[in-house]
Amino acid sequence: MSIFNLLRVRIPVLVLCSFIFFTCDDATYDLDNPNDPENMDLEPPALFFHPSEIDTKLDSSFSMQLYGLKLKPAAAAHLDIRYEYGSVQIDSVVADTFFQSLNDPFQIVDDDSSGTLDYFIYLLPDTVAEMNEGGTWSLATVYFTAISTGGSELLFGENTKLRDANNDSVAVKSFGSGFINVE
Amino acid sequence: MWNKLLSFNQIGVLYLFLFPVLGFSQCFDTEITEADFPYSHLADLTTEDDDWDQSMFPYPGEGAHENGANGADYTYKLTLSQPAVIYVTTCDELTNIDVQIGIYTADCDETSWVFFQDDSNTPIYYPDETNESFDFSCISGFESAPQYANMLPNIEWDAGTYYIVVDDRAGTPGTGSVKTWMGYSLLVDSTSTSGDSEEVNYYFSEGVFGGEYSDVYYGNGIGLETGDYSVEINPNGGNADEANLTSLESATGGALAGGEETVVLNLEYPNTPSGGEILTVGPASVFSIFNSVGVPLLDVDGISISLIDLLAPTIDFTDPENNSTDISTVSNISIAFTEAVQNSIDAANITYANATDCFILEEAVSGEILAFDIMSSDQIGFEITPDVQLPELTAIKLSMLSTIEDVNNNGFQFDTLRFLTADESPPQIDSSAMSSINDYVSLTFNEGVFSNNNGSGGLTLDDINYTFNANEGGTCDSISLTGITSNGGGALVGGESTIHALISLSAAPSGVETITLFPVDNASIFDAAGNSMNTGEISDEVTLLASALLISTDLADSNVYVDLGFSVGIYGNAYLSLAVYLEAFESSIETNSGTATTLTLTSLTNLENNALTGGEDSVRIHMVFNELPSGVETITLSPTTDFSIYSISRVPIPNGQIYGPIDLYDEHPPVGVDDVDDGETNVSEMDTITISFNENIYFRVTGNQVTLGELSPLITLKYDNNSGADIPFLIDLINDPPIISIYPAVGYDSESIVYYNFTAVMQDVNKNDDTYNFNATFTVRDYLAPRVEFDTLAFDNSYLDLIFDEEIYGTDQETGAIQETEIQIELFNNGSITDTVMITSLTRTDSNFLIGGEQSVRVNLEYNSTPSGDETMVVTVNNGVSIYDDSGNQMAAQALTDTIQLNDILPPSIEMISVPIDSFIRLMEDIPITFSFNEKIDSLEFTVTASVADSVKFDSTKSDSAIEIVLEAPFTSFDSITVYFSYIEDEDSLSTVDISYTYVTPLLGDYNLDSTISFIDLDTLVSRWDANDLNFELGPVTGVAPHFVSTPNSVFDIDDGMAFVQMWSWYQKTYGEIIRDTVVVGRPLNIIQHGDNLFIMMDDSISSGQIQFVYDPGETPIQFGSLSYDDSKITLTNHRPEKGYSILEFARSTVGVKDTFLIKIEKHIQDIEIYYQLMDERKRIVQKGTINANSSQLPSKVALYPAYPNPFNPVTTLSFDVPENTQGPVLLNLFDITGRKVETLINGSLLPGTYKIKWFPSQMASGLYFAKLNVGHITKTQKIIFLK
Repeated sequence: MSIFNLLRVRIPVLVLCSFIFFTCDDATYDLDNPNDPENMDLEPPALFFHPSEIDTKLDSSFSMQLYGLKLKPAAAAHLDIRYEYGSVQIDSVVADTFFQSLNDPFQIVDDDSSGTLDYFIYLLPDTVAEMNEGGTWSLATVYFTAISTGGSELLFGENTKLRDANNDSVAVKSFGSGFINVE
Repeated sequence: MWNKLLSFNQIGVLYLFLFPVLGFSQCFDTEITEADFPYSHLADLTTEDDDWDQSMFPYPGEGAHENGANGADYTYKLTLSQPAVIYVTTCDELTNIDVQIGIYTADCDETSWVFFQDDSNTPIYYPDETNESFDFSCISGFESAPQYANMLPNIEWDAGTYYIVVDDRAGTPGTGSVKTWMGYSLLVDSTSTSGDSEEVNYYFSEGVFGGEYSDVYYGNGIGLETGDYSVEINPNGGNADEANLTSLESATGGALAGGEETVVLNLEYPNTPSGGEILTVGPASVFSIFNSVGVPLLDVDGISISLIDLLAPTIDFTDPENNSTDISTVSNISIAFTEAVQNSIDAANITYANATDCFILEEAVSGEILAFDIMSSDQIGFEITPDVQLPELTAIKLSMLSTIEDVNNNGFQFDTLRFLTADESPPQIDSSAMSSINDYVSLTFNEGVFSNNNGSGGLTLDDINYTFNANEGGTCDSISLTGITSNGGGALVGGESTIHALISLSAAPSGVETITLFPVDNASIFDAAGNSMNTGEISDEVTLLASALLISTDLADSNVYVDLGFSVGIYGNAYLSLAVYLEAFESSIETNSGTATTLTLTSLTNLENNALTGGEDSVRIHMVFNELPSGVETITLSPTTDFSIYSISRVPIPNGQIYGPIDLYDEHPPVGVDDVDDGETNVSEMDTITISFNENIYFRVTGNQVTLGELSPLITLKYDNNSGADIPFLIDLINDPPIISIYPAVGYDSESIVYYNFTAVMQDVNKNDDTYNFNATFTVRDYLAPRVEFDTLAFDNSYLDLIFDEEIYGTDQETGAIQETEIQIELFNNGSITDTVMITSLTRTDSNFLIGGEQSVRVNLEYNSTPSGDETMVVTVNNGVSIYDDSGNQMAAQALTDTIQLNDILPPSIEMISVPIDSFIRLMEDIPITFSFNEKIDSLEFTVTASVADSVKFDSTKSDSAIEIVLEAPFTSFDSITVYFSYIEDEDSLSTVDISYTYVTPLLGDYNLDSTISFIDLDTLVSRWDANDLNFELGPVTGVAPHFVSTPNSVFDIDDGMAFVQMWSWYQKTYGEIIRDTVVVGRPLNIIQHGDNLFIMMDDSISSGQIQFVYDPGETPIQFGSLSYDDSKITLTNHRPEKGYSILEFARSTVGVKDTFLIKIEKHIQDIEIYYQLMDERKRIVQKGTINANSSQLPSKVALYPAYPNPFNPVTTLSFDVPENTQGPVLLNLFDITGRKVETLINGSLLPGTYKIKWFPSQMASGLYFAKLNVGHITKTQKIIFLK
């Protein structure tokens, strides 16, 4: 099932989640929190899930952000997200600020509905720059629905990669993982 | 006007009644009665006091009369015992002050005034503010203004007391004296009039005087004169319209001296009064008639007298009018008098019983009395009906006697009415007679006749017809009318009673032939009154007189004379004193194709050839012919004129008498003629020589008629003027008459000279013989068409010279040049691309223009391409070609040349490429390009280069006439590839250099090859990515946008998106600009503005699109709302604040649902212009247009404008306004005439603004439709007429 078909049936949830997203304050981080990236044993530059663990209820919706840690300047990303099909389902993916310029980023979402989400996001150059300045930012937020109980893991797949404006690879030295516990 | 005084007098009485004792003091100075009349008194106002104040009399409209009329005064108290008409005047020489007079009815009571007068020439004023004036120029002692005295000539008072106050206007004390007169007024007591109104008697109340007023005043008055009277008459419908006063006289008939109480006026009337006229007589003016002291007669209206009837009756009109003519014999007589009349004998109305007392009707000449009846309804008009029809053309008289009078006994003056009755009978033929020499018929009518019905015009031949009867034994079989004359032989002018109808005879009559004459029709012959003669009016039959008849003719065998025998002796004149003479005969000859054509009469003798003496009944006419007669001729003889030959009874033989025809005897040998002229040219090759005879021919030796076999030895036919070869020939012979035809057996040679001869002695059947010798030399025509003897082709194939065997022309008239259209060339390319040749012109071989008559012609040629030498051609002409020789022989269809081989002059070139140079090369596919040459190639050199890429890989394969170059992918995006041939050489060593072909590579990501990277390509990428169609892969790429080199890796991944984004961004940066396309397609953009938010709603049919926001350059006033929440659509946005626009392009994967874009705009920014272009899944533009957001000029109210055009077909445009603060959706529907909704054009939210939308009702019936616009609760409607 492609992400387009997925979104078609999940629009109400998407809208609701979007509403929540737009109305919340920006996240602030306490660096002594175990969930802080500095405490995840990741060698920057790295990609990780935030929060890395989520406890939720069956049929509940929740989200996890796809975060970059001390990334170099980039212009595009392919985030290959592996999740446990049958445990959770992906409702939508929303671009966050990492690839935001004066223009909204261009994004393509492809969920094969078998446990792999290919999320392509591109910075649209503006009059200022053709790529961002890098750093630690959320690349996107993935909205899930828990569809069965038990624990499942979220991983970055091997196809995950970033490119700069010259179409050269942007190094990612380590990848974090996430865990979802559904009761 | 004086009647008004009476009324105020009564008012004065009223005052007296109301104020009887305003004071018991006395204000009058003298008291008088009518017994004192005539009364006069001189008052010295210098000694009088002021008892009355007359300064306060009101002047109408001018305030009080304050000008010093309050001076010393003198008052007369007048007591009348009975009503009277009196006068009061101060006009006297002893009055030497400016005096005003006032009249009161109560003593000392100024309010009792009834009138006053300042001066004699000023009006008399009354208390009711009215006035009257007669402007009397007074005489007084006030020298500077004598009119300052007073004149009241006619005061009509009842019995009573009146206070007459004379007041010095100079004040008190008075400045002088005033003399006052009083007495009875001068009146007309009565008048009387004489019975004839010619005398009017005036009876005055006292003696009267005329003359000037001053004369009368001073006692020098004279008797009245006619000028003292005015006489006027009102006709009042009567006869008298003028009356003149001729004299005045006293009652005794004497002259007037003045002082007469009775005056007689003598009058005359230029037109006698008929009764009813009003005569008015009176004084000419107020200065005409006076009494003894100068008081005038004021009878200005005069007296009126009604005049009595003194006018005798007269005839007003009659019918018929007096002295009229042509009156119908059955007419009545109408008479009208000027007034009603009666019979004075019995004073009774005029009726049938007493009419003969008043009228006598009779024939004027004979005096025969005619009885009549009479009718009248008013005794003014009378209708007299004769008892019998009146006679024709007779003078009738009606006498109206003096016994007739009007009702006032004014007698009628005897009078008569005369008229002439009409001629009403048609004319008749009284008699007819034949003239003594048969030249006319005399007709006598009972009256003069005319050819017209108005009594004009003499008769003509068109008016008279005739019948002719030859009767048994008649020798004249016809006549003709030749003219009409009067009895004396002159021309007819009309009105003749005898005429001569001239006749011409066809032959001498035998005396039994008869003639009758009659009118042609009923409109041919008229009398003076216009009565037409009936066609049944036929003359008596007249008989022609017998003349000399021919009884025999006898022609001499030698044709030298002819003898004529007559029934009686003949003479040369009517007196029988002259023998008939040669000139009395005329002759004619009918040749009938014979030889004799003229005839001359030479002499006239008796049968013994002696001279004539007169009276001979046989004569011999001698004659000669110009040629011997051949026996077919005939002659005729006749009298030279109608009066050339007379019989013994003096009757001429008419010219119409023909003697003959007389057949002549044959004396002439056969006549032969041929039809060939010696020296004749242009003779047809099959021409026949014909020898014709006028009669059958015989050999004199044998006496037999010639035969075909006997003729052949007599004929010679050779070429070259008898010196050449014999020409085989054939002979035909037909007889009666003989025609010999000689013609060649196979036709003469073209342009040959031929000699022929025929020699023989022959005779006719009567043995009249002759020797015949015919010969001639002639030239046969040129009958062979021109032909081409040889041709020469130019080395460069540019022309072909044709050499003919003779001169040629464009017409058969030996004129004009041949045209290039007459010649065809068939080209055989034999594998060459040169397959068409065209003749550009024909010239002489020296390149000059053709003018006709050339023997050599140059055909200038042009080819579709340069010949390679393989081609051949043949020059031909078709039938009907306009190529002639000088004899007009036309060239027939034929090949003018053999097959001609063209020369090779073609350099090698590329004539076709398999991939057009304007084609895009697919970036990721090898492309083979075949270059085809125009001929076989021996060797070549070429290179392949690119403008961006460092090099281009390729492979090549060469054949005889082509080379295939395969360009090997991948190619650089947005690049150009050039294939350059530096050298090409054909097998004939002809070479070509420098030929290049350049191909352009498309933009990577420009899927639709429209040279743009747009939302359309985005839509393609999204849909193909979704379908995993790897043919649309873009990445990975190398290089820099836009010159990427793509090497797809068979998977859609980050490289594909990266390539598209970079290409799109490059395109927007490089070529992005404001669209400014205002073409409208489909519905307007569905858009709502709410505060700073702009909601753009996509219909469910929209698949992709582009929305551009244009604003003032410098900042970005809009933000696209976060688009991430809906991943069903892919969006690309770009802000170009430096150029003043932002663009949003999108592609949706979830077509079928509605969607919304959120745009945030800064409120203070005005006039953001939005261009939009939306497409459906099939990539068709379904919505396109422009709208304004935040516009400073927005409509203030809802409006739906008339459609334009209207009526329309096939499309019309509807315009409407959506104002600010619009609540609710906008709905624009179309309804048919039944109210059924046929289409919805708008149903959604629109920004405030003005919109246009087109309507295409192609599937609907023509007719009336209604457009209905709903904006909130407001509805607007417009009529639209759709015509098919």
